[in-house]
This record gives sequence, structure tokens and C-alpha cells, in this order.
Amino acid sequence: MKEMTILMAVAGWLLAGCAPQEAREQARASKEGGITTSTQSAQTVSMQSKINLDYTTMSIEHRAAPPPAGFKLPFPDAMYAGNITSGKRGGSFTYVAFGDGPKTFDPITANDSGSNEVISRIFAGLIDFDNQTQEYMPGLLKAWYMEDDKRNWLLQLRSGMKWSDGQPITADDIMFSAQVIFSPNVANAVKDVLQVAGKPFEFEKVDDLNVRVKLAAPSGSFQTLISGLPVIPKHVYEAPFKAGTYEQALNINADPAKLVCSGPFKLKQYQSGERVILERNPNYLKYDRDGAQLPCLDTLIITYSPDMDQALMRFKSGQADGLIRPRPDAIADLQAGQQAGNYTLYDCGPGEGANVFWFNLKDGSNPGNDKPFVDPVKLKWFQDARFRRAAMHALDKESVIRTELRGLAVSVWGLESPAVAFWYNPDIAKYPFDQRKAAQLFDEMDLKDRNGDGIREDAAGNRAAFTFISNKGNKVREKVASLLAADWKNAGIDAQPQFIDFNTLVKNTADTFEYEACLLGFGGSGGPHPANSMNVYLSSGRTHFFNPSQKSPATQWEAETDKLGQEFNATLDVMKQRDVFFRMQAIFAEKCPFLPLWTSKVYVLARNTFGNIKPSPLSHELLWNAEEIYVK
Amino acid sequence: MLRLVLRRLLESVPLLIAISLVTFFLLFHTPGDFLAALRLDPKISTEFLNRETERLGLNHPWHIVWLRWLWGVVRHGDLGHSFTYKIPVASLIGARVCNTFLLALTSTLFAWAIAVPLGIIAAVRQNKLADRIASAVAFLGLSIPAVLLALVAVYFAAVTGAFPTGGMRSDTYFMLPSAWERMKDIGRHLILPTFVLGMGGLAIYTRQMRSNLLETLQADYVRTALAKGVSYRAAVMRHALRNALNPMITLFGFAFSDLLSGAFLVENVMAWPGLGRTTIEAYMSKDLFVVAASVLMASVMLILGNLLADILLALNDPRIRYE
Repeated sequence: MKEMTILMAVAGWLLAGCAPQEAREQARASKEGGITTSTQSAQTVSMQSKINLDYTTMSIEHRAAPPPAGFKLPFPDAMYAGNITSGKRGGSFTYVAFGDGPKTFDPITANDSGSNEVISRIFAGLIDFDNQTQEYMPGLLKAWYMEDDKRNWLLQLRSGMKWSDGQPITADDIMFSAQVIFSPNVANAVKDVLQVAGKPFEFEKVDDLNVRVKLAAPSGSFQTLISGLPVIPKHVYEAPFKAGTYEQALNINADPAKLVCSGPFKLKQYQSGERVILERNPNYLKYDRDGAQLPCLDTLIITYSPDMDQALMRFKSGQADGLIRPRPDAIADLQAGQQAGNYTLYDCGPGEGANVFWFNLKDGSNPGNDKPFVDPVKLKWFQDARFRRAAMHALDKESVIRTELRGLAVSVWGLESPAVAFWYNPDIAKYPFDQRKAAQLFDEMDLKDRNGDGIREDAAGNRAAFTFISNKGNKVREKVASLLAADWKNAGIDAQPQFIDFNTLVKNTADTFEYEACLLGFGGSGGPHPANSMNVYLSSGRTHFFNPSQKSPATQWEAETDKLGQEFNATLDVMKQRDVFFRMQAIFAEKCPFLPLWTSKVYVLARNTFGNIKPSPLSHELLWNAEEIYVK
Repeated sequence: MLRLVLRRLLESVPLLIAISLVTFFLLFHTPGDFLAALRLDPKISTEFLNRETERLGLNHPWHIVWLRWLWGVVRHGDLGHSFTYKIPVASLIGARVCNTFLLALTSTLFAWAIAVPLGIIAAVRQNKLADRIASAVAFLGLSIPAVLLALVAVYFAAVTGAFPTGGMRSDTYFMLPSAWERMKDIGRHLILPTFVLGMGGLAIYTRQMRSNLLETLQADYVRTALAKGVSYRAAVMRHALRNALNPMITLFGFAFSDLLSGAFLVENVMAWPGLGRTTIEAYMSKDLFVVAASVLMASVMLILGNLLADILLALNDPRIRYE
């Protein structure tokens, strides 16, 4: 025991001594916040300290700036890689992914992470996102800014860029991509993003390098929205588009040699269910300080494994160099093997998304059989914010995290993850574990244990009981659900978990609305910008889960949130936007329609023989800067 | 013989149609559809979901969808398009079927090549040491679940480095200079999955072979042959063995199609790019036509396996005629 204490002290000292100032401050902050730091995290390389907290450069637009001194660029508009270590050219990196691989290589129609993982490596975006500083960076565009009327935007392409087949990248390619996206013959979700106030963006070619985008109303989210516009080469895909065979041109059967792209890599080989082999794009636009073209790697191989154990074995045996999000119960073992396996386990801190609980607050009844969605007696309780707050106070989240989640999660009080530093409001109402407070709130609602059976009843004798659904098949979730139910039972509420098939859960929560409460893991909202999660906050949103797709807001605070949502879009100053979004988060925390529980920590594994490995809690956790990765 | 084959194939047509009918019925009457997961994604608009429902034809009743699909199959031999991949189902599962077939074939051969001799030895040397060893191998093979064996195999590969931990080809496959080198590469990847998948069958066949042979060895004609002065070896090999093989061949017909479904577990744990993975993925995402085609493939395998078994039976035993 004594040795253990010394070991911990030494580890703590080492950590404090080596880590930069922010990390120390963060460590202190997390201790004060009551989060226990286990010996585990002392041994893991923490990536949390790298987040840049300087927001003075944040803006919704970007004007071209000359490259900083000391860069040797082959053409004036080439993209320069900022603070990166120049690496050796050559070599190969093998990444093992959990899953079955891409469904398509088409950036316009892709909807799944397996496809996007590959597509983001082979197609450069108009606007890049730096996962480390969490800022938008120039991509194919060197500048994008509002014109004087604040409604129209000008997109300025870099000059001198080429597609992988040597043809120039021009405004025509943007115009063509927009044409494909808005074509009724190409099923895609991008077209719903490229609009404001229900009206689609209009694109107008100014000259070979400039495109004007006309908006129906000013939009503060334009930067995020337009960064979702993929650009594909007109000279390759115009013919199939006109012939009505566009969807075949970029599907997984496409000939890799004919797939023309703009990203750091191009497709060399795709083996269904096995791997994707990417090779260097000789025309990629990014250069390092010494004038050497990126990417450093000759090849990037993504292999697919349908089984997590198998993927881990591949990594451990040296057949793969990188892996993200290993199974939580493998973390301890992976930590121990770091030195022998010559790899590092990176702790990236909490990721996007959260485990969330909510009560069904939907008024009304099923039009089919006139049965109310929720028993009116219970609905009255659920709709009372005191009930929801009391339910929150009754939960001992920290102990669940410590035991069942092995300390590999972080307690959250809102839907936004601390991973997205800029948009995360830390000062919102919190409901820490407090049985006395929970009891007090229930008492206030006149829910009391009147017959001495340990469960509260209302004045009419209705038992305070509800059933909450969750998807089955996730063992940890099932265990956690029973722990939550036990906490509520201690507070005098009889909560019964019910585990159902995921598809049934979707039907119940999004279609028939016949359920009382639900426990679910939300994935990331698809990008670290509020524009991507508005559907959850706005009362008209389909994913406003506790009461979705409302015609007019049911409560006063939902009306207020809706108004703030509109204000958010209309605000053209990013710091003001942030204030607005902070207020939206504050309202949700205060009214507690969602009971946010915790966010899992993101872990990334990478072999030590590679340089410029910069893992991030945001997607893509390891490959976001694949062009910089080099063999040491 | 030809008539038998033709008749069997014709008879299977209504069977396959009925199977596809049931598949479609079940897929439409279990909760959720292809768009279920997208419904929880805040980035996806309701308009997109509506457009997709219409484009994929999911707004029609199930029997209409089935009839249209059936018409496509009969008329153009078109199995439909995958919702997920937007490519013809045939091209999606074609390569996967071949991979699974390859694995099923090698593991069948492996199981038979060892089980038949082992069963013979066990029967001839009943209750001797050789029999005991063969029985031990069989019981071990029977009692270890394939998943566990697969995990052990992956672990073994990772620790020793003697075999690849999974997959069907190396990363460098396409850089290999000759076809021979490529075949060797696939062969190396085949060894462990073949062993794991074949082990269960091996155990069953050994026991079956042993008891069949023991039974035939008791038969009058074997005693007659021995009494006539035929050597024991010749009596076993020439007379008893062929008769003892008959039930094995029937078993083979079922076992082959069984291997296709059994391969799924091994495919998953050992990352073999086979049909099982595609089918499960398609089932989970309710990719209608892919599921329907996969189910059909499995049924066709069962029908063909049984047909093959019947033909082999006739070849092995001149008494069996189908005319």
C-alpha cells in the first residue's frame, strides 16, 4: 500500500513537472470539480492540454493573408502547413478501423462515418478545420467573406491548384458541384444544409477563381454550412451526371485510376470488406516550411475489422500502426503494454456526444387509437421541471462513472461536450447527487410515500413509477440502467428499465411517441458547431427528442430557445453568437428537459515510430492530419 | 441422372419464391427500416427522409415491393440495388460469396481429409490407443465453441507471428510480383480460418465415420468376405468402407450449406471478407434487397449441396438409382 502511494506521488510529480502550464491548471480544475484522477490517467499521454484557448482570431469570415515569412512555396497561393515538424518523405501507415469499410467514395451522397473516413482523405474541403485549435482554416478557398450587403458571400479559390489528374481546380468545379447537389436526381442531405430561411443558396460564377453565394437572409453560420459543400471535378463527372449515371461514377465499384480527387491522398485500391489503399496525390496543394510537398507518407492503408478484439490484436501484433476508440475494458491492458509494444495510448479527454436521459413530454394522443402518448397523470409530473431536477439530484453519476465505467467517462450537465471548447458553456445549472434535495423537490410536488412501501404516491394514490426504454445489446448500458433505477428507487421513484431493439426504440421515440422515458447514447452532432445541433434545441426539430417536430413551441422556455436559435443564425459576430448559444444551453440546463449523464473519454493508439501524431477527441481522431504524419 | 438434376432444379423454383416472400414479409413486419438510424441524426432533415422513403420505394406496401423485385429478378435477372452502397446487389455480394465459398470449400476438404481416415482407424482399432486419441480429438473439437477457437487462433497468430491475425490478403498483396506469390499469400491467410471452421465438422465426421464403419463391419457380407479368405484390410477398404460412406455423403449435403452460415462467426472474429458479414450488416441496416439476395444464396447452396450429395451417393453406390 505504501509503495502504491509513493508510486502515485512520483507519477503525479512527473506529470506536473512535464506538463505545460495549461495542463497543470486543468488538472487542478478537474480535482476541484471532484473528478477523481486515477493512476491510469497518470500513465496515459493526455492530449487535453493542447486546446488553444485564445479566441481573438475567431471569426465567421476569412480574408486572404500573405504566408508568414520563412516559407518556401512553389506557387504563391499554395497552402502552407503552420507549426508542423517537417518529416521524412516515404513509408506507409496502416490504420485499422472497426467496421466494414466505406459505402461510397462520393463526398456528396455519403452519410456514414466509414465512408467519410476515406473521403476526407481524398477530397480537400473548401474550408478546413483544425482539430487542435478547433478553428476553421483556409482549404481550397484562400478567403471567404461577406459583401457589403451582409447577405452575399464571396468565395475565393487559391490559384494554381490542380486535381490529381493535373487539371486546374476552378470556380467551374464549385458551380458544377452545387448543380449536382441541388439536382433532384441525386439523393443527398447536403442540399438541406446549403440553405437559409428555407431558401437554397444561389451560386454565381464571378470569374475562374471567384464564386458569389447569394443568401436569402444574412447568416452567421455560413462558414460552417459552406464547409459542408464537397467539390468534385467537373471535367470528370459532368458526362456521367448528364447521362444520369452520376451515382455509379463514384460508388465502391468505381475504377480507382479514374477517381480524380484533390485531397492529400488518392485511391489506389479498394478491397471490399478488407482494406482501402491510398497513395500520395502528386498534386496536393499543401507544403511544409521547407517547401516539401505533403503528404509525407507514400501510402496510407485503412484495414477493416468487424471485431474489436481482432482489431486490437492486429494493432498489438504490429500489423497496424494506429487505432481509435478501443474498448473501455481493454484500456488497462493497453496501458501496460505501451513500452513493450512501442506505442502510445493517448487520452484525448471527453469526446463529442453524451449519454442522455429524457422524459417524454409530448401532449396529445395517438391519432390511430386515441390513446394518450403518455398517461396524463405521469405527463403532469414529467412536465414539471421540479420532477426532472429531482430525478437528476437523485442520481449518483460519479459513482457510476467510477465503478461501471471504469473512470473512462466525464460527468456532463449539458448536451455540449467540453471537447468543443469554444461552444461549451461550463457555467450552467448543475444538479449534483443530493438525496435530500431530491426528496425536498418531490415533497414540494406532493409526491410522498403515503403507504410506507418506499415508493412515493400523489394525493390520488398514483404510484410514482415509470418505465424507461433503452437499446439492448450494450452490456455496460444495461448495467448502468439498473444502477440508475436503484438510485431512483432510493429517492422513492419506481423506475423500470426496458431494453428493446434499436429499431423499435427509434419507432417509439420518433414515430409513435409511445414511451415514458428513454436512455440513449447520442453520437457527436456531426461537427463542432451549433448549426449542426440546432435540430435538437429548436422545438420544430425532429431530434428535439422529448417533444419533437412541434408546430408551435409548447412551453414559454421553448419559445425563448427558438427565438435565440433564430438570433444565433442572424448574428454575424462569433463572440455574440457564442453568448446566444451559451444562453440556449443555460435554458436547457435550467429547465432540464434532457438529463445529461456523461461523455465517454476518447482514446487513440499509435505506434511511436511515426511523427506528427496529433490525436483529437473530435472526428477524425487520428487521421485528421494524415498528410502531416511521417515515419520517424 | 440429367433428368434428376433438371427435376430438382425446377422443383426448387417455387421453393425459392416462397422463401423470398417470407423474407420480405419478415423484413417489413419487424420494427424499423433502412432510414431508422438517420432519424436520430440531428444533421439529417425531415425533407431528406421523406425524399429517401419515396426514392427507395419504402412508402409502398410490402407485397408490392416484393412483386416488383421478383419481376426484376425474373425479367432481367436483376436482384435489385443495395440501398447502402447504391450498386447492384449481385456485384456487392458476388465477391463475398466467392470468398465464403473458398473458405467453406477448404474447411470441408480439411475436415473430410482428416475425419475419414481418423474415423477408419478409430473403428478398425476400436478401444485401442488410436481410437482413444481419435475420440479425444473429436470430443475436443465438439466441445470447444468455434468463437473461442477463433479467438485462440487470433491470439496464437498475434503472439507467435507465424500467421496473419486476420483478413484474406496482406497489405502488400497487390505489390506481389506473380500470381503464384499472390496465391501463396491467400493460402497463408486461409490456414487458421480453415482450421477453426473445419474443427467442428472434423469432430462430427470422425465420430460418424467410426460408428458407420463399426456397424458395417458387423454386417453379414463382411463376415462372408473374411470367411472366404479376403484379407481384413481388403474387407474393410473394398467392401465395408463404401457402404459406410453413404450416410456421410448425405451429411455432406447439409453440412456444406451449414458451413456457409457457420462461417459468419469465423468471418467476424478473423476478419474474413465473406458473405456473412455483408448479410448481417445488411440485416441490421434493413438493406432489403441485399438481405433477400443473401437468404436466397444460402437456400441455393442448401439445394445444390443436397443435389451434389445425391449425385455422389449414386456414384458411390451402384444400387441407388433415381430413374
